[in-house]
Amino acid sequence: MSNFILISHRQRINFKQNIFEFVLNRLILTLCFLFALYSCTKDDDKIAFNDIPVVESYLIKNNPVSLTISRKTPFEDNVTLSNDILDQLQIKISYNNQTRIIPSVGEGVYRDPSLLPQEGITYKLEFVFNNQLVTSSTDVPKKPIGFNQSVAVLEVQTFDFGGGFPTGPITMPEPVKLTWTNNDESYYMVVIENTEVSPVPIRDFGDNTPPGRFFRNEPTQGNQFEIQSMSFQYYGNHRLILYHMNPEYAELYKDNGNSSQNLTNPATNVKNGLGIFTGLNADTLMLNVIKK
Amino acid sequence: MKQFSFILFLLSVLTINLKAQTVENFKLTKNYAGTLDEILPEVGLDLNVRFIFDKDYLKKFKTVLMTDQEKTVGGMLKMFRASWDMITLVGNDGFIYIAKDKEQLDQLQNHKEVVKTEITQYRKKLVPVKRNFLLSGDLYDIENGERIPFATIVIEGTTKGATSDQNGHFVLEKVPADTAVVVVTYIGYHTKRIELEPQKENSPLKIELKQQSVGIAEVFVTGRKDDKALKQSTVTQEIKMSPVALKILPNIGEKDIMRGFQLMPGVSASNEGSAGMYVRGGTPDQNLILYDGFTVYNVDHLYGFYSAFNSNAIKDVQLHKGGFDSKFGGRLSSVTEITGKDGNSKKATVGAEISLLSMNTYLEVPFGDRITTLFAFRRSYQGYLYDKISTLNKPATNTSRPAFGGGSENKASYFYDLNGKVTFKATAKDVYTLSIFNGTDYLDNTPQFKMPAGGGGMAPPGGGASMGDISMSNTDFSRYGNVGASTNWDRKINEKLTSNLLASFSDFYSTRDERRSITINLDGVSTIRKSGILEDNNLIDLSVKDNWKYVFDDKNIFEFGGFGTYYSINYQYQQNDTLSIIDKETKAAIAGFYLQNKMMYLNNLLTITPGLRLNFFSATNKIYFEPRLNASYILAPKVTINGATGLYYQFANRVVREDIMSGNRDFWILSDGKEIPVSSSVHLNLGINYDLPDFLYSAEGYYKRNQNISEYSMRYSFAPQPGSAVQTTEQFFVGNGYTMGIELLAQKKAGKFNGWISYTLGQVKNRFPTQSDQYFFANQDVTNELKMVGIYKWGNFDFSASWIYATGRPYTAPVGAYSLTLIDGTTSSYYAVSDKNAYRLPAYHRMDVAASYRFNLFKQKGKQNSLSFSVFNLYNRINVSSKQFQVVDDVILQSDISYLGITPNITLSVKF
Repeated sequence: MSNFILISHRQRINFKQNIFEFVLNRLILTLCFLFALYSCTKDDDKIAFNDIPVVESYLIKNNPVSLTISRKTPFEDNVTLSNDILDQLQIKISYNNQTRIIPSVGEGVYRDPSLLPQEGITYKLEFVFNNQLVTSSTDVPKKPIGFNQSVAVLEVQTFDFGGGFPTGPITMPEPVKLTWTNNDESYYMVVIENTEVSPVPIRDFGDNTPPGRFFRNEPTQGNQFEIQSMSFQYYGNHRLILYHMNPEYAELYKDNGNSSQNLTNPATNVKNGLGIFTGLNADTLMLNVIKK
Repeated sequence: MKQFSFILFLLSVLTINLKAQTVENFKLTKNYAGTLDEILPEVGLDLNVRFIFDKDYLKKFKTVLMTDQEKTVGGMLKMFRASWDMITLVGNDGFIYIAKDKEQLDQLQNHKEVVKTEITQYRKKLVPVKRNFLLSGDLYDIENGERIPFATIVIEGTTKGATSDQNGHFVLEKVPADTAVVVVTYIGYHTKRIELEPQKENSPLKIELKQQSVGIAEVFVTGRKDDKALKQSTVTQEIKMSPVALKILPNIGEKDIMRGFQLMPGVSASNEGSAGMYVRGGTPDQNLILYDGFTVYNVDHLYGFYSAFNSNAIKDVQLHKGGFDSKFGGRLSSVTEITGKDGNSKKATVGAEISLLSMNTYLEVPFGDRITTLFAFRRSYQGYLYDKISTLNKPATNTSRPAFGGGSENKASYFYDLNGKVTFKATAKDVYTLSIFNGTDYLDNTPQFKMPAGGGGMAPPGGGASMGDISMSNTDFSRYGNVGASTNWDRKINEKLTSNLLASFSDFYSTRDERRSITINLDGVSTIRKSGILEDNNLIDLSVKDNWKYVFDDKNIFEFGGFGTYYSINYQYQQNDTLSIIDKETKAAIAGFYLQNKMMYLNNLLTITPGLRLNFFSATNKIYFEPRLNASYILAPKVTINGATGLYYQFANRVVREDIMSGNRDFWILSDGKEIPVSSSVHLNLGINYDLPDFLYSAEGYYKRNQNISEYSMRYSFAPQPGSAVQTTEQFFVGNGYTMGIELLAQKKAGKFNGWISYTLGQVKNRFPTQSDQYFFANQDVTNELKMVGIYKWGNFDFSASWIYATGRPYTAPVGAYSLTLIDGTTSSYYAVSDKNAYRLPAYHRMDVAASYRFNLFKQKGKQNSLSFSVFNLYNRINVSSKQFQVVDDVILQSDISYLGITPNITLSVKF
């Protein structure tokens, strides 16, 4: 704050000449000083925490309905949560003019082994949390059709430079091309899973953590996907699962930012809640990755 | 006393206005000849008015009064004031006082009788030969012959005045007498008085001004620092700056015109990451930047820390904060008009500067009497300042790059800019100029990988390592900048009609290449596979402008012109060789015309400038009308009020693409009338200035209503494994908003110690219906902003200090987090976020200080060399630019991204 004083000391005041300027200038400096004091003592406002539930449920054809309800982790301490107990909610799913109460199995999970979702039916979710009605609805999409692969066996050379540079040329196999029928620009995603009990790595991971057994493409509205041979990390049998999904699920793969400059609310199809309640359908092919 | 007299003065001005008009309107009934002390009693008798004057003083002046020239008593008094050193006043009592100065006037008023005064100095007793004639002239710098634009020229004792055009040319209509005194003021220069001499060919007048080599401090700010200039100031709410004056202000390595403006009210100073200006709640892209007539689209150097303008190549900068003339268009908020130096016309000059950031050199060479040239070049070097700022701005992680083994980083980054100008004065009436500008940043983060010596890992990419028949190389660089050029033909058709024809080109480019290329050589056939991203934005602007100005008479100036711009904008976002995620190419043209008429009424006290601008935009096939109105009124000799209103459209927008991984990127796009509508703004500005000889007080208010403003969002979802595609979604949010505020300025203009305090109270709110019905604080909203600048001159030293305080900008933060298990087995974390911009960052404040010493080398005239030392952020305030969030073990962690801490700098400037 020293420049306040700097200015005021240096003001050479000639009372006779300049009372008006003097008064005005003093007034301005005083106001500035008061302003600086005011601004230094101001506190940030706190924003209220809204306790709404997080839903996670995938309705897959012929798989028993399962649903997980959780709370979001508050950012601030000392937030007030609602009195609802996560295992004592009355979760209703209605379809075809029927309503089912889904029983709790503990830890926020609700499951009904007798409710097996079917294609083309709309399922509606409804429950009360924090005195609000939480709702959502979804359909189970059709099973993918025309799912094909270009090869069933893929030969991949070992990448191991432990003993120095490899001699001779390295062959990179052609990518595995997956195709399916998609006439309505709906969303598809391929998940590739190594099914071996103890898979053999294709390359030396060095000190790095070994990669997981799954990898996938991004949700696409197209009708094909090429798996680059370099994407495979392990030898052995792989399941190639093609999911046919609803747009609300594809939205989940979008990044909602992690900086105050770009944060936005994540996508959700749950009203008065967060998370996902969506139907899925899948088809599976097999691929064997072997050593060349 | 002064306060008292001021109030009295105000009262008297208000009450006598009626009377004054009646007495001053009395018509002269015959011609008179002789000395003033003989003539006036005669006039008094004939018209039944009483003059009070000092006989001894007035008998020194001789004239002829003619009914067809002076016409009225008022006209006669005006001629007296213009011709000689005297002031006149029609008193409350109906008497007409004629005195040498204010002091004598007071005496006359108190005694109402002839007062004997000692006259030490007075003008020659001249008899005007010519009356009400047209006076034109040209302004030059006495040292280097540089033409001086936008200077103020007034006839002493009258409210008659003009402003020089960009060629330093001015026209004054109806100069009362050829014994008048012409006063020229220009920021950074000594005020010059020219006593016209009868019988001499006064027009055109060549006036040479001298630069204020040392006391730059007192003239740093505003076009209204002189009370005579103030009277003529009809352009509302504008700041003028002399780049020469910048060097005594604290800086971080470079004296920067944009940073200079940020110390003034209405221009936000709290954004270190943008050299572009946030004027009155507007964003940098809403500020039109014209450099010698062409539009500059990128002003940032080094993450926006410096502006791309080399102040050694700039002669004049004006910032129109709002309500700007019809001549300007295509932007919602403000106009920055930059005029480059022509170059020394008297001798060749070389200058050089070195700071901890850059090297700067300029060369001015005249060829004969008619051609001047200027060339300036500046380049950063990778010293301590460059590294410090670039480390600060470097993204923390870079996960968009395919994961490979480690390596060290080799940065070969720099920025440069160059300015060139050739001026050819072909005839007395024609001036041709060619001006070129290029400012470019090159940021290279290409990693240099080292081959592991027999170690494990797939590691080898980098710089071009080769393994048998596979070779890989990584690139990671950004290059962005602007190149522009204009050719300009100024023609003075006659003293009243001038024209200016300009053809220009401007190219903004921004490329980011973050790719890895793998070359596989198999059986003599080599295949190249590229992965990673390539982003490219290119804007080309080809423009023609034809401006005309016609001076009907001293009360009526008409300006009109036509313009046309052709835009071609490309934006491409490419991934993995062939996959183009976004590939946009837009082309459009804008054409139209404008006209405006500056009219003066009430004895030049009231100036009104209505204007109209008409645009045709080919992308929407629509015509856009922009009516404008500008007015100012001299309420009292030192008090001026001004106001402006108008409608403004913007057709090209800069959008910022958020990219957390490698820093935000911005690019330009054109409105298409559908997804991105043409945005518009209505301005309403009102201001009052009270200008004393030593102090200036000003208060200005503004309100802007913005329609169809858009915000852009493009998000990427990165696949957890290499090789899978990046999905992009683009979204434009369109909405409305408003911005309003009050700006206060108190400035001490003269003396060894001078400076100013400025305060801005502002608010910017937007509403995007697709997001919410509520208005939210825009990202650039700053409630309070206080800036203080003090400059002290002591011998050959200049000391300066500035302190800036600004309310923290708004931001959005998570209120909670949750995670979902996705069907591919991965778990993804999500933030539940607060309402948009519901939080505020901590207040921004910092203090900068500087000391500079002027000295002589090589027996030069004046003190042209200087050594400056400055400290940025003296008390090392950690100012937060944004916050970063992370979920670790179900806990949200927050980290602050800060601006620059304490940073000293030293600059040496030498001129040969």
